[in-house]
Amino acid sequence: MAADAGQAKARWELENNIQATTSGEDVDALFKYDAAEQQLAQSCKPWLKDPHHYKHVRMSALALLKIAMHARSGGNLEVMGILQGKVVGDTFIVIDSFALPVEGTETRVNAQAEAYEYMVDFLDTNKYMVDFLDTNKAVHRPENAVGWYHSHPGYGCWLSGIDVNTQMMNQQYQEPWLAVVVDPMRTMAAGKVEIGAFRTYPKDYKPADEGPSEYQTIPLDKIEDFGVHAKSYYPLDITFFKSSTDSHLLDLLWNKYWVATLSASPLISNRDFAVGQIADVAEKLEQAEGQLTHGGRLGRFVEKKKGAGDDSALSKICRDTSKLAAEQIKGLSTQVIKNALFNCRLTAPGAGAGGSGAPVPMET
Amino acid sequence: MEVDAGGTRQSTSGLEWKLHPLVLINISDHHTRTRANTPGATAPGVPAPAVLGCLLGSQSGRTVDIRNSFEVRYNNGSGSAAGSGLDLDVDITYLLKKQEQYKQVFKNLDVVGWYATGALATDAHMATHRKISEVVESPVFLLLDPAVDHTRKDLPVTLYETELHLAPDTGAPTNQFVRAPYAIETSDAERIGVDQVARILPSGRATGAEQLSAQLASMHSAIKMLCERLRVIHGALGKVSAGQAGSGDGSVAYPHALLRQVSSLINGLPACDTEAFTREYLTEYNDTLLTLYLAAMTRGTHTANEVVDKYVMAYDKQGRRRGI
Repeated sequence: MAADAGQAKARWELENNIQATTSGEDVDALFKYDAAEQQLAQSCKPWLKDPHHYKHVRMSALALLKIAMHARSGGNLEVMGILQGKVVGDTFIVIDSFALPVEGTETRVNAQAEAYEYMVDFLDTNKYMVDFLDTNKAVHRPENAVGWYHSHPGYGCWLSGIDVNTQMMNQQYQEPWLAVVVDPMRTMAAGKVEIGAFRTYPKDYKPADEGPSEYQTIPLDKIEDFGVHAKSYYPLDITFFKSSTDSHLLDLLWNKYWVATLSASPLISNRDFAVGQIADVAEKLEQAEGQLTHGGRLGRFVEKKKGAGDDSALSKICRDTSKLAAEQIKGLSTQVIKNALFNCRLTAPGAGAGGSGAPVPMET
Repeated sequence: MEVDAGGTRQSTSGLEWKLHPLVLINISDHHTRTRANTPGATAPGVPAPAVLGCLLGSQSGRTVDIRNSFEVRYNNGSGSAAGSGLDLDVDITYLLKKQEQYKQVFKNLDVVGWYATGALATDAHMATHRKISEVVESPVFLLLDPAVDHTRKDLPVTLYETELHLAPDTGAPTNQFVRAPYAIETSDAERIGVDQVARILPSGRATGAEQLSAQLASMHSAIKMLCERLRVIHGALGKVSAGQAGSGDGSVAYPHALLRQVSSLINGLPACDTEAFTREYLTEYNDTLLTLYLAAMTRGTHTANEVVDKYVMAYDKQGRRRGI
């Protein structure tokens, strides 16, 4: 009975989007795994009735860290891994993740070849995966695989055509199944983990037109792939949780950790990415210029075609550049603060150890 | 066998240990999960079952990076009270299998040691240590105390190396745990990840302004931390000078080493005030301003384009009417 009440409470918290700021013990309940309950949830097959059934993802701090670091370690290569966890109601709870020994090709030069490679790789690694899950059961890791993650270095969190196919196939045979995409490059640029969770619709399902989804920057050479498949999957919202021990450790960690925050220089580590973005903007501008001069001449004929919801190419570029500028400003502000903090010449000798004067730039 | 749990002894191996936060989170997670899935263990007062696992890392020169960890199965030989762990029987075949699996993905990581949860290093740990030493050369032992104690200021983590000592009474060589100093090290992605989970930012795509304020807030707290540290030093210096002036008889030993460190710290400022740095800094500054300019220009062009579009439309209608 007590367990039931605990679960009900956990459920309530899930539905009300309660974060780890409530008492820690309830969050810890998320780590409990009840095999019978999972079996029951599986046998109901709620996803058959409603393609939109799953709406939320809750990811543990551990899984987030592991995914972010694995994606980053891949550099410009796409890396891939498996998510472990459970489902509760309409929510995926991702407890842990592990990496697969698969790396994507350098860039997506040949989508066809890559599709093949992906499939072969995936089927090959399935064996490894099963192996891995079996050995895990012995160490209090009863969770099953509930999805996969892979990285899109530098081009945003969305599903490509190949990803849609992979996910669709998995959703057919391995439900409940979740796809998570993480972008390590943008993570570095934005200073937060860029991550998205998706599920595809069944093949013959036509989603209601929800209008354009949330805007994100897609490089020019990927736009086609993005546009074609954008309507065959939907995003799930992700929240994160941590156990009480985690938060305790993290609090203590901060005591040693602030140095890393101060010494990080996002401008320098993101230089390549920023240059790539600007080059992309230049290309897009050129294309838009072509379209506009062309469209201007034909203006009176194509005027009707312009939907109210669609933005013009130029306004999209506008958003890209604003985002880029915001990121740069963020990086620079760090540098400016540090310059003021550590490089200020003391005018009066012996004006103290700097302890009292130091925080001034922050208070403005 | 005597185990030095007091930890006053420092390691003399000269190895430098770098600990990544992921390892801490991983162990903590392992602990939480085991507790949540062991019947009866969540009740207050019952000690959580101890967990055990391996540390993965890489060594370059005298520096060892502990980057990741995985859990290992063990049989509690005593069979009853969890946590007392008098006989931790590690499943070596399991360990080797996991090691091989991780090797496939992370080629440059080796098993460098093992971890356990508990308050103090005991003889049982030493027995396990010996067992693990059979498969891993001179492993390091990480002990994490999972008990939540809000008065603690330091991480509840201790690293131990072993040293060979001659027992004073019998003269037989025995291994002893000695504390090894460690530092926290993070990679960039790890830092962002930890920042994010530590404060649990909303996951929604934050706007530029929100990102900027989040960044500034984290800078603020880091600088606050720095200030606190400086204030402590300042206070200590004040006390030293007061003590010197007040008694004068040297009742408090004059902390030469400390003062030397403080003085070298102050002499380090300004930290980087060279011609080259200034040039770099200004270049960066200007680059950012140029990006901002680009954004403003694009926006301007867009607005102008819209006006032209509207104008053309209005003019067009007139023109057509006139045409009719």
